Amino acid sequence: MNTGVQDIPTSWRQTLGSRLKKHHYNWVRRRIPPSRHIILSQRNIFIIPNRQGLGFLAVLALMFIGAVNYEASLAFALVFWLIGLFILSILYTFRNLSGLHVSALAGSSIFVGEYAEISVVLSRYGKRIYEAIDLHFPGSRHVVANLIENTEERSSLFVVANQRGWFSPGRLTIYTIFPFGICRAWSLLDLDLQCLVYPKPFPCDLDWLTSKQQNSGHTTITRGSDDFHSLRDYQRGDSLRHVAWKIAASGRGMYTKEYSANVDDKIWLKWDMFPDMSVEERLSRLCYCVLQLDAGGKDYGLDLPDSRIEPAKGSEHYARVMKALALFGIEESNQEQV
Amino acid sequence: MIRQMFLRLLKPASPQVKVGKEIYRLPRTALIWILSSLVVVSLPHIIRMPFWLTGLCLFCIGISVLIFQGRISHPGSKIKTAVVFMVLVAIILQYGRDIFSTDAIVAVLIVGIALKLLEMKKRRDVMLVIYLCYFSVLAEFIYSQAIPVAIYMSFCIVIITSALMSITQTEEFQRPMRTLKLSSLVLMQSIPLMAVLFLLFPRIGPLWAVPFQSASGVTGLSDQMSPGDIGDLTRSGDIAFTVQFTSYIPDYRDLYWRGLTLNEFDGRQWTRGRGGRFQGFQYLGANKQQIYPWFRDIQYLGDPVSYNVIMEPTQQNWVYTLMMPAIMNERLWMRREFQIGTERPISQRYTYEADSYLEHIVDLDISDRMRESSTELPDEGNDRSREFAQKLYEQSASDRDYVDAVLSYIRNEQFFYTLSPSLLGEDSIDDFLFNTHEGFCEHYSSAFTFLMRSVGIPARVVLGYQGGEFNKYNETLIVRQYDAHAWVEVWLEGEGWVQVDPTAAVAPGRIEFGSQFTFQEDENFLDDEVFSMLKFRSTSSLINDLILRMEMIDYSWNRFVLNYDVGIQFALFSRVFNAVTKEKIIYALLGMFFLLIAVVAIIVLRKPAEKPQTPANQLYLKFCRFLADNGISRQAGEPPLHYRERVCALQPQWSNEVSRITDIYMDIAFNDNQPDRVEDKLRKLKQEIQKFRLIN
Repeated sequence: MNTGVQDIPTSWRQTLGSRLKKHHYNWVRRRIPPSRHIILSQRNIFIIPNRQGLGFLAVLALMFIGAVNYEASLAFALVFWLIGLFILSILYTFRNLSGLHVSALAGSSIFVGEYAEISVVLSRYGKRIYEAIDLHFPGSRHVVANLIENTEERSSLFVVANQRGWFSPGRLTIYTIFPFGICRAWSLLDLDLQCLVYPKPFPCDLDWLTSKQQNSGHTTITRGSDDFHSLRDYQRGDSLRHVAWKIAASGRGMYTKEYSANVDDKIWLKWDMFPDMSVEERLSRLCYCVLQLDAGGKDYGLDLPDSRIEPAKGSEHYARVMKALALFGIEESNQEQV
Repeated sequence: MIRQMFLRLLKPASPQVKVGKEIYRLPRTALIWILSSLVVVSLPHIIRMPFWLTGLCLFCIGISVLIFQGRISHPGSKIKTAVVFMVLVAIILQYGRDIFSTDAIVAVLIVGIALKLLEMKKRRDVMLVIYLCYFSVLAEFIYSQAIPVAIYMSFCIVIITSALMSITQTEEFQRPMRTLKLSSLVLMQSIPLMAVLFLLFPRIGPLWAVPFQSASGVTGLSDQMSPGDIGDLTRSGDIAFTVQFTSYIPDYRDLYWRGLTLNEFDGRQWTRGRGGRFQGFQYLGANKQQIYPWFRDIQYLGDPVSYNVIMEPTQQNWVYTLMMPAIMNERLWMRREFQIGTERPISQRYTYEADSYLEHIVDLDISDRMRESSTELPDEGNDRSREFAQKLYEQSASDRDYVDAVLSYIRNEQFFYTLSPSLLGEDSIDDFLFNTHEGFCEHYSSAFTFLMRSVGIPARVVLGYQGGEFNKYNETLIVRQYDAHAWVEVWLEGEGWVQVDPTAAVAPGRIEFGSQFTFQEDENFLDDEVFSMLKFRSTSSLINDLILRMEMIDYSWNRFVLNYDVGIQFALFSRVFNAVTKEKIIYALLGMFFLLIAVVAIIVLRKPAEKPQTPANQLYLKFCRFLADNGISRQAGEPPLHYRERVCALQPQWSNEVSRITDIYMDIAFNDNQPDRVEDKLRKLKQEIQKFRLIN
């Protein structure tokens, strides 16, 4: 019953902190909804004097006292001039973001632990130039963009992906202190970016696994040469020589003829191949197998507890299989969570 | 070319190694801007600073360049402490007792900036250097607020602001001209804000007194007079003070600007003596006047002359007025002998207003003590003069007669009024009266006072200026150092103190037309003004006009900018509002200030050009706006098809029209169309939208 006195404020502060953070997050989300293309305006730009700006004001206060004490008119004029400069610096800092068009493109899929490349495109129309604009995602390095002579600036930002599944780099922080460094204008943009993160491949003995699979007789493999076996839907990447042209000519669609020789190389990658392992460990090994089999040009299928992909090959098949591995056990709707 | 040279000079010797946290790296151009700011801003201060401080600043600049190049590292904290300590000790030794004077504080400020250059590790440090540069601009205004200084300091502010801007810029995109242009533009745009604040911001008095020490010494008249002292002042054409009359303008011969009285004579030199000092200050404010009988008994006659005076700094604590001054500002004090004093030496340009009653009667009765001190002479010396005085006095019917007799003696004998009189011997009065016969006003006033005192008539020497020059452009009277003058006051039974000018007897032109007229041929006149145009004014009316015009500008600057205070503020506002109160001024301030900010904001934040829209897009967006007016707005980036579905779901009765319009739009926007077909389709789209708007 006797809770430590010191614990209460800490936990209280923690809950308040997280609550504030959540509140702020929701507020930003409502104010700047996700969009692929955002034009910065007073709706989504925040502006506040930064620490140097407060220092500037403190110096102005001191100077004002000096002006009062020495009763020097021009000293008053100087202080008032600098106050004007401070106010204008708010406007100019705001101007250095407002009207800027921001869009971004997430790069191709990556593996866990790799950096996702996100290229952010800033563009301007008209005469207004933009200078010294700092861009970064949470955890990425800062990139400074300038649109002075060019009307479009493409910057690449790299964010490490630590989890498989749909990866979102978070909100892009775009800020500037130009021209005087005493105000900071910024925006937090959700550019609706997503890229798929595959499990990190982990090497395993593929030959042994597949041979064990053949021995166990789970698959029916009939050996023979060039015997017609079945028809299946044409997929990109299939050899044109195997297309059932007669059927295609009659207008019933494209089919690929499968021969028993092809059947020979079909390999099922199964969940059960890696007993006594955790989900991620299994996925890592399956991913390795897929990479190996794809590089070897073999047909492979995937058999997971919640999905099943028939053996095939080609880049689309590869992407389908990898996506299944990446998203295994992850609900699609969860992707928006930060 | 120069820029290239600078850039090469500042090329880093080796790339900096990054350890842990990213090291702040000042852009190279920014360093050049910062160093230039320091140089331009400390230039005017350097003249006043001891020599070694300038050397130290240059040394620091050199070191900071080396640090930037990476040739040497930032000094450690021990070295820093040692250096700061040594410099502080040196400054204390340099300034000694004046360590809290403005000069010393400014020296510390400049050295502080220079030392901070060695420690520019973070952006914070760099900003501090720049803020301190702004501060030294302010420090310069303590010394001088003349127009050229103001112009130069504005230039400094542009440079400093450019430095401030350059540290936020990316190094490879820096173009000095662009930085300079933008910072000048912003500064120009903030001038209206400054003007409003300057005019309307409530002014308050100083919070505490600040000791002031300046290299420039005492100027103008001093509080003692030996032969030759005032003659020396005629070498200078500097302005002593400028007067603007707000009532009638008195006759030129009545313009005696009375400064102070000298009471004690040692045979050669006149000083204020005890009489000038111990009688103390008497406050000239509202209520205390009755307390002093001498003050109460002043009889003011006729109409007063009203005027205001802007006085150049003298480092002395008295001002000049026409006799007999009344109603003056509350910071002025009147001494026993009707001298007007200030609390502190006048170290900055000083303004005051006064009313003077040229006709007056003062001190009909004087105390014995005063009579005594005003007739005191050295026990010995100048015997011939004493004898002469005694003889002349005995022949005179009254004191008044005696005064006239002495004046006619000076008028009738062969006396010369000259800037370069012969040197006087031991008995200076005897020598002047009976031997050399040449002198300047101090000789005449000194001898005259001596002759009065030796027969027991109270008399004293008065120092001040006489005459001046009218500037026809703004109707002000400019009084220069060469207008310095000395005359006499004698006390006569039944008349009180009466002003007598023996110089008028020998050189009436001096009193009627001024010093300039009298001496323009004299080679000693304006001897200090080697390069001044004043020397040539008599030869060219063009130059004379130019001088007067420049002085007019200077006067307006002094009066309306430098001396802008609560009084002028209220006067200005009473023209606009009926009754002026502090609240009204503050409301006006806030109102105008925010209005101006709004105007500037509109100028600065003009809408940047939009992405150019195709005609189809324009039509479609118009359609979307119409729908938005009817309650269904299209979200940012929402695809047209998605939007159509939403609209149809919410307003099924529109679905036909909305679908048709969207289809035509999609067709134009996303399908390849032959140019002639596009025209048709656009027309159709337009018709459909119009029809839709008409129906609803």
